[in-house]
Amino acid sequence: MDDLLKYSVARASDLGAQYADARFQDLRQTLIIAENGSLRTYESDRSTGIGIRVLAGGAWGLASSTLLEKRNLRQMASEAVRLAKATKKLSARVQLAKIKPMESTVKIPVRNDPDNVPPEAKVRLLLEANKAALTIAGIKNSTSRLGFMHDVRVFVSSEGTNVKTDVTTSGFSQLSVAAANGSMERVPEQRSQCAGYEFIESTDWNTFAADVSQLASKVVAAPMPPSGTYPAILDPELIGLFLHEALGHASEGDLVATKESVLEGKLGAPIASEAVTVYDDGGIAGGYMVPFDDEGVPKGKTTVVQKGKLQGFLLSRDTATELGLKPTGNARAQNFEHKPIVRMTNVYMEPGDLSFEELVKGIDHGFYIRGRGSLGGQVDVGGGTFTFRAGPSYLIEKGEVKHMVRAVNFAGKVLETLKTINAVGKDFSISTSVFGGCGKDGQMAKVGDGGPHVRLGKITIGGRAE
Amino acid sequence: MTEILSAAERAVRLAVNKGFDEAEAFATKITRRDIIFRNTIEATRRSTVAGLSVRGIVGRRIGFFSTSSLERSDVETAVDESLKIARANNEDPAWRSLPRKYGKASVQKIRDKNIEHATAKDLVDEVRLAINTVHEVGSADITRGFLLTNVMSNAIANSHGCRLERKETFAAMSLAAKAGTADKKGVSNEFSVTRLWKGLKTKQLAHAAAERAVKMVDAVQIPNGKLNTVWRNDAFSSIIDAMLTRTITADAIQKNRSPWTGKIGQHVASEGVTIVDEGRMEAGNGTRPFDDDGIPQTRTPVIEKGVLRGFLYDNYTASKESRLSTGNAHRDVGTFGSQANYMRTPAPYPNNLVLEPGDATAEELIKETKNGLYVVETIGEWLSNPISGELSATLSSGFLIENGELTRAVKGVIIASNFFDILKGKMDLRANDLHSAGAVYAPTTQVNDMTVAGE
Repeated sequence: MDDLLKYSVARASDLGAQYADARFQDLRQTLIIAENGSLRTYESDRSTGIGIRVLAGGAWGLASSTLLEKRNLRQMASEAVRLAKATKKLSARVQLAKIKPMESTVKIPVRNDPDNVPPEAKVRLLLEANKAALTIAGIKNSTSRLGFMHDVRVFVSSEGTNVKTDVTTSGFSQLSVAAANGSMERVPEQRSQCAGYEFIESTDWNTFAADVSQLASKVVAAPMPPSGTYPAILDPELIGLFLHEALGHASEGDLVATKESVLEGKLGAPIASEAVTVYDDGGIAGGYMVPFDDEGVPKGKTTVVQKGKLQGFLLSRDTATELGLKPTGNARAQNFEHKPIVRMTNVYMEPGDLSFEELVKGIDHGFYIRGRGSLGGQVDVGGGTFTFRAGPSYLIEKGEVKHMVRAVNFAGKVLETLKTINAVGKDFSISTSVFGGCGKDGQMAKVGDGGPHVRLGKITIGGRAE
Repeated sequence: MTEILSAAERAVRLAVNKGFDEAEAFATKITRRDIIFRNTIEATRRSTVAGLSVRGIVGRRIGFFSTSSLERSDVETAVDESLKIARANNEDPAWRSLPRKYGKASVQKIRDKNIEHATAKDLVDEVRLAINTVHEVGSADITRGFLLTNVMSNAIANSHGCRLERKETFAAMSLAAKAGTADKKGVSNEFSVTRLWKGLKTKQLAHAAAERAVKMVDAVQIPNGKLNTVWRNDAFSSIIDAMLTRTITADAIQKNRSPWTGKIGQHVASEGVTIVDEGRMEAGNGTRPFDDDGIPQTRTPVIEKGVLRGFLYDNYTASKESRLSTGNAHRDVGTFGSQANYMRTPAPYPNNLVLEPGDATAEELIKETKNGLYVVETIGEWLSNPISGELSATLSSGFLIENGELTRAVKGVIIASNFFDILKGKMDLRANDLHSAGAVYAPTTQVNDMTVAGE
């Protein structure tokens, strides 16, 4: 494969490209779904392809294909150069920040390759868990999924970089729907890890699935919270989601370079309370492993916020030049077809020193917002408004966690909300998902996030209680 | 015969030879071109992907495997893997058979030669038009944009001797604009997806994006309360999408994950509400001569004059109830060719779900509302709960309606209500401007009495 990629890059350079890279991907994915005690689908796919990216005349040209023949690569290289040059006067005058060419291969260790586990074993495990979730009273639907992804990427550039990454991810998800008194409610929950089938074998999924059903049967009878603005504690799952939406996206270099982000021009300035330190880290345990990005730049640990001050942005090589900073290894593409764009890897908050009880004590009337059963979130980066949907949550009264309330949407303004973080817990966890991902500009990326329990002074709750 | 149809037929023959009782192959070829731009062009791309999946059945056990290669040896691997999965699978007592007959409906304007033959220069010219239009408005800039064209061909064949092919095109434009300063900024997003090049309406889109970005500079928050609202057509189509598309399908009904189970024939909405899946609508984004099972697409009423009439079926869910499929099998859910659709097994999903429009203009609706909120863009509406009916969306761009006129720009509030209540008489005033940002077509719609969580 290396030879084909080097050939493509050399061909593009011969045709006048200032810079060229070629990416090969071999992606295997399996998704098995069981519903209400029987198997619904067992889908498995293997996709391979090459994408060539060239810089010519100040703009990028890209050509990609699933056809891996040398003749086709030759055509793709010239097509990419032709497309870049077609831009002419409208070209963005892209310039790449310098990096040191690297040669490296990183394989995330896998003890038991999911592809070598017989389909029978996977089906058996999934059906058992799926049925366990149906044993809880009031459950109308149980949908369980097993997901596996094996992503091998090879990157070669005209500057001499040649890196390979090999990441396997495995996971289980459960969705339970409960009904009571003419009302229905659903609770989704998943666990994934960059690991092989050993991760699936290390957990009792029957208990996991039944617990999700328990939660669904409980929340269907819970009241709606009121609407308005309240203090709240977010759990590690939700603080991760919150940081991803509220801070992570706004720190993406492409959005900063276009002055779209609310963080534009704020490097070094206080943007959050002093209790807040946030990193983007491609190698944190529990997250999605990104040893190198899709420009062949190592993704280490980037400090985004240090004690409340904006410390850095997430950058690709071209956005680094635009902002006069160094690339951070955050240029990622969904697959070989797409152009690498600035993406997060794993965004998380550094823990503090308070216990959960101490955090709760500080709230007279507010909410304990849980991530379990959450569906995700979204941000309007330019407008600075973020929103996310929590899982079943709890009312806090006079420093004590009280009854459960239904899952609703929460929203806030990025800069205002970060400043209201007034206490940070000492626990810590990070998670990723083989099933979902983060969408941006029509591309999906695998990410992770997390942190400790965190207390916010003020967040808007979209409830409907009178 | 095209390359993908012959690959599909070859895969079916191979599957039968290797021991499948029944087999089906679904093949795809997509050529995509796109330009990513701001005020200048960053990247231009051309991508060609192909692939094929094999679904085979041995004694009511189903196997499925897909591959991005149409090479004989890779197709053979796909057949072998599919067989391995089928043998490991449990018997599905509900399995009847793959379709024994395919069919093609007559549909108009789902393929445009101007998209198939568009050159790099055509695309660059369209992008230039977008950039120039935004700059004509004055102080606005484009912060992110893309122009995309897809030409997608599909072939399907099965061991009952059926085979079909289709070809369709899409074009899409997305624009994010901003105005103002670092500390006081207005932004806006506009998006359109269409079958036909001329359906892009680039100038109109760019003008709307620029104008609203300027107005949003002065956006304010509003206090908590209850308000009557008017939703722009594309924003309301996202609401219908979030609240209905996944619960009116036969699989959701059969598997007890829909609030509509057992309600056929009941009044679930006020008399003024009619929602129909128009599978053959001219130039519809989801219009195709046949669905992803090979069954002709058709017209299926879901809610007629407030009464729940029916659900959307594919071949499998229909045969479970010994009835005919409504031609709603989809292998890609609402991605318009941006994802390769051969990788998934079929499941029912709307083709073009249409909320019947009214006869007023959008301006008349706003005038009639007198005091309230005009909703243009929301985020997070897809996080709402279609099972409990709890609807919630965060306003990212909108305007106050005061004395029947749009006045101050508003953003950042959460708007909530129960969708089942909305259907029953809170959305009876609708405009005549049917529009879609995806699989759902909706007009500008007045929605009364929504809870607003603000300051």
